[in-house]
Amino acid sequence: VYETLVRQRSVQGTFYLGFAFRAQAVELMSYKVLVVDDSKLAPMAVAKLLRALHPDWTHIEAASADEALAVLKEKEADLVVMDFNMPGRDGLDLASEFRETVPTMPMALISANHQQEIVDRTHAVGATFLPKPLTEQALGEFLAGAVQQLKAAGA
Amino acid sequence: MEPLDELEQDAVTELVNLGVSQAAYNLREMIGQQVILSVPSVALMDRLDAIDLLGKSGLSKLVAVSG
Repeated sequence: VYETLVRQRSVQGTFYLGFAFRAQAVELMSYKVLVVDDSKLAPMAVAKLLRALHPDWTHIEAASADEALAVLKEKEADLVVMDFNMPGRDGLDLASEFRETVPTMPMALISANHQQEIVDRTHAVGATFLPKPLTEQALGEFLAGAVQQLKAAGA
Repeated sequence: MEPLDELEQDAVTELVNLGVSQAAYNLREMIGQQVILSVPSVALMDRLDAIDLLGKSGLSKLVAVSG
């Protein structure tokens, strides 16, 4: 009878341990997203989708390349979503610039221009291409992949 | 006169951007070559002013699509 009790206790103990571990893991999974956008409307749409997908995550907005680079240099974000279309400096140029600062950070480029050449160049700089109009599913898939990558890097 | 606020202007620009990008995508599929797009710039004006502006722009090749 004693043996059974001990076994039951140890089983219970494992349970509690497992539970505590899981609670911590959930807490650690809250990430900070940097949204880079030179317009006003588009980041509002991205923020809305982010809230719907991951209400516990936070996001920072940057309206210029310099602002975004400052955030990246300070390591204040875990991943970056960008929609940038300024004369002389498009999202792709900016993405390759970011890559030098954050070589492994998950990065997505949102663009309405989804011609094969643009998609290929986006992949070449190690970013995910998300076509406009942005859907919850497309963003969700990128974020899920990013979480896996971040977890693997953190392990 | 300022007919649209900044957010509304953004929305119209975005709409034009989506339309032009889709057209460029379709054209790219037809000709098998990338279509280079400039950064969209949108201004609202009446038809006569638009004709005047296009006439002065010096563009020798102009395609218009009317729906």
